[in-house]
Amino acid sequence: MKAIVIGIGNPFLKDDSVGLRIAEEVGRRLKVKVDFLTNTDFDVINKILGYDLAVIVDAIENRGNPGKIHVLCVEDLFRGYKFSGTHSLDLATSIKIGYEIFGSEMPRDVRIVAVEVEEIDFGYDCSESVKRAIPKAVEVIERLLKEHLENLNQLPADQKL
Amino acid sequence: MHIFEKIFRRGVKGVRKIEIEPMTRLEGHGKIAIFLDDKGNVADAFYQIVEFRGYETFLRGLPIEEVPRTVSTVCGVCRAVHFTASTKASDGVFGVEPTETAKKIRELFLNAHYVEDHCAILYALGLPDFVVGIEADPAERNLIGLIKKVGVDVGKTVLKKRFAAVKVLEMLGGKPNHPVAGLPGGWSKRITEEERKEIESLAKEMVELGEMTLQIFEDVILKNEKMLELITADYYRVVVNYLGTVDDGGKVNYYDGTQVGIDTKGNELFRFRGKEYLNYIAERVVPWSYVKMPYFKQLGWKGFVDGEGTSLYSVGPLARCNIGEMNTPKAKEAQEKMFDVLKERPIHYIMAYHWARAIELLNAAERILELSQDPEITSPDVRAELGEVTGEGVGIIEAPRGTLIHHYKTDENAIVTEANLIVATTHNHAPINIAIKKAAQHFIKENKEINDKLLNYIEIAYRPYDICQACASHALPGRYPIEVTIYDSEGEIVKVLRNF
Repeated sequence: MKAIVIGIGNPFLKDDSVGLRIAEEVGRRLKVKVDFLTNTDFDVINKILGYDLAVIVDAIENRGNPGKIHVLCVEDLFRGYKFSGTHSLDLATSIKIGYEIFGSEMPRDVRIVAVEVEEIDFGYDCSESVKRAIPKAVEVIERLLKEHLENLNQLPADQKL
Repeated sequence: MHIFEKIFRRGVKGVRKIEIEPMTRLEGHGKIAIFLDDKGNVADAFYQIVEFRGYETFLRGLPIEEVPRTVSTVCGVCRAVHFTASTKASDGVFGVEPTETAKKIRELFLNAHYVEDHCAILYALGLPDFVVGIEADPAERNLIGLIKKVGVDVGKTVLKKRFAAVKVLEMLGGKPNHPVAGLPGGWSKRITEEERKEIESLAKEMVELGEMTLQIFEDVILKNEKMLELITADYYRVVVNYLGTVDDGGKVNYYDGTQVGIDTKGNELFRFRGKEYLNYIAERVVPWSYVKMPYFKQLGWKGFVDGEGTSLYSVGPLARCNIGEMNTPKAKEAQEKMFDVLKERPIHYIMAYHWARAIELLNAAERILELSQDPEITSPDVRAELGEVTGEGVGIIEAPRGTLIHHYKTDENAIVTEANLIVATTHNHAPINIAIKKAAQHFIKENKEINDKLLNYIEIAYRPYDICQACASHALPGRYPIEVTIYDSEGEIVKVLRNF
């Protein structure tokens, strides 16, 4: 199985950096390709092309439970192409565009592991609630990788990559 | 006096307070307020952007050599440009002139950023308006709609060739997406012969991307009379002065050179380098915006007016094309064609920003190819010896969106004590306001229904400037919302339009 874990964030904006920190920890603890991004535009497509599974780790806006981990799929975040930005593309739009253009070259599965932020301000460290979520998020990613492998093993031989 | 100022000073029925509340310090709603007169026509329009000062405070206390690695995170999209400008500023702080090879590597790096950035902006945000059509449903007026028109294979080719530029950026920057290789006086790693060959090969793909983009522009837009009418429409024409950077031969240079200001007729007004910018650019405080309004100091503040005599100015692709010649052959030819077709120089049609962006995409690709074939590019002489700490450094480059100024003051140990960053969107703030007002005046008429299409026409007016709202924080869902509020002559809200 070809899998990649991508952390997205800004290292100098407290909880916004959580995706980068989780991806770093995954790189230390698990045998999987890890990469990093500072934006969510076409570079996302570039990074995940050719992989079977992509796990993207990012911060998500505060929904009342800082540190809560959400496991999402692209459709959970996609709000339609109707939105047109001023400067860049959001994550879900970029991935959807990737599928439209590259089809089967894109991963069979893309999962987004998102951690609710408490504070996004200048600083070199995450808030305590978000920091506590980091090891849990690594476990979630480990589970996702295992599940994907199990699912792959159950596929007929001609559908395995 | 502007309506906004009247509201602030005297108050208008129904509007006691105009609130500008960004969601965070770095990211927020772009807010547009449109005011109607008694007859329902547009009296004024204002676009508010968020102040940029957060990073300037954060940088205080950092060693100057850490600053480029830090400011590369100001914006996930604009990472290479802030990195390059601050690296140049760090040269000044250490009183050092980088080696010729280091300058060429930095220029190559910056040009790679141009290719990936201009490509993304054109295909994702700019071209769909033209190729799919401005009257099209917004659900179709995007890259997907564009691909349906030009074919999925074209989309695939565009993105793969753009990835070539990203690869060069990562190769030279030393770290994926967060460049770290710039140092005061040079660059931390040389280019090997193997890397040079790879960059040369990738550059050829980028040149093809540039040529293909201009061909799409030619086939789909220039051969369509309606599109040409849109490009040359009066309501999308903003007559201002321009600022950009040229080399000693008067050719546009993104990495280094002299900053030139021209007036609305193309006459040169002034030239400056480095810290002299303070003598030529002044900033006006306005009561309704966090961001000051820059204008050409020698012309004096003339208010929010375009036309001959205005002191407002624009930066970016069209400004650069208006000021100097492209420094590569194919791009120069394309630039001349633009002037021939639009029949004016300088060009004030803001839709031509997209055309200029396509020309610059080709220019940057050609320049990467030239630099990759320069025998000096693989020299190991990538760092000059540092001089004494001077306590001050200014780095000015041309970012894809326009002139970018990084100005730092330090103590005797090169620790930052003051930082001033002037970004393209700040330079363009006043012209963006005028562009929005003109579009609103054209499309909102007495008794005409105000609907979601208006948002589209207004987006088209500001999109040429590719507004960067310091999107350093991008936490999911990662959208940059714009809200348009329309007030009647009594200050009552008539309509609120959102693109989120």
